[in-house]
Amino acid sequence: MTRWTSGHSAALTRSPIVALNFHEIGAEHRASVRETLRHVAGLGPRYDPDEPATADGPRVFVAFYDGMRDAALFGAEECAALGLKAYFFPLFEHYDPHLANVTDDEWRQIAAVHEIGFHTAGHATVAEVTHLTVQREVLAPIARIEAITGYRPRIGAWKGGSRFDPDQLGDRTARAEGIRHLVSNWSIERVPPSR
Amino acid sequence: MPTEHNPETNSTKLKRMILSQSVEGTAIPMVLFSSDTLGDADDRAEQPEVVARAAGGLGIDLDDLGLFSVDAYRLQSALGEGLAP
Repeated sequence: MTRWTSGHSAALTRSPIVALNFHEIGAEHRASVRETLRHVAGLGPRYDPDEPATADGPRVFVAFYDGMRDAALFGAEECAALGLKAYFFPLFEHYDPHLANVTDDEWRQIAAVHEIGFHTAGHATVAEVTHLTVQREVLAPIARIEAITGYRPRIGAWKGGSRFDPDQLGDRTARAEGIRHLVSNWSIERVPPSR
Repeated sequence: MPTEHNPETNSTKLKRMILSQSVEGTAIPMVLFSSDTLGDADDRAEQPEVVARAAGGLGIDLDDLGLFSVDAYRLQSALGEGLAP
């Protein structure tokens, strides 16, 4: 176990990443989501993993996971109106195609304003990525994001919010394909370079 | 970096917490570490009062708290809620 120290507490309160993570957004919650987005957008600049941390003050990370259609289109529009570049982590073979049927053309429009990250094809945990599934769950979605956006995704997230683990095939493959930052349940961390 | 990368990612309790936050569909902020803030492990600093208070409210002993644990997630959630409008 790595102990949480008082230094971690001080650093976290001094310069936190303030994250808002969305999956579905029910119609009844839209007003409160709008209010919170407006509030959080005013707390600090957008978190960009390639930019050095500000000495003090929060940075803002707004993310929409799984490619839920209503949430993605609503979130893209609301964040754009606030001047906030958000992160979208779509699934391309979603477990519920009725909820998540954003077209590639719509993703292209979203990517013109926001950033698209890697989140597997069918909602796999990193432990579910094997030699049999790596093409479908890692290689194909990264290639598809690049085809849609014109860039390789630099940031990714696994179902379950795990951190980078070099023992996992999925993590090693994602890194080899250009993923340099990983969102976990606790952190957004640089992926360590391969040795 | 810890040698055990994801000690509690598969915790049922953690999955339930994340799922309940997600299903709710509302926006509750959460504070996350960056690589930079994770590197700031100096144990000589004073515990910020906001952290001590949040931990106390959750019954978490900061002297016995591990990073990347269920309790760390609870604490980071509580600190994030403090930033909600």
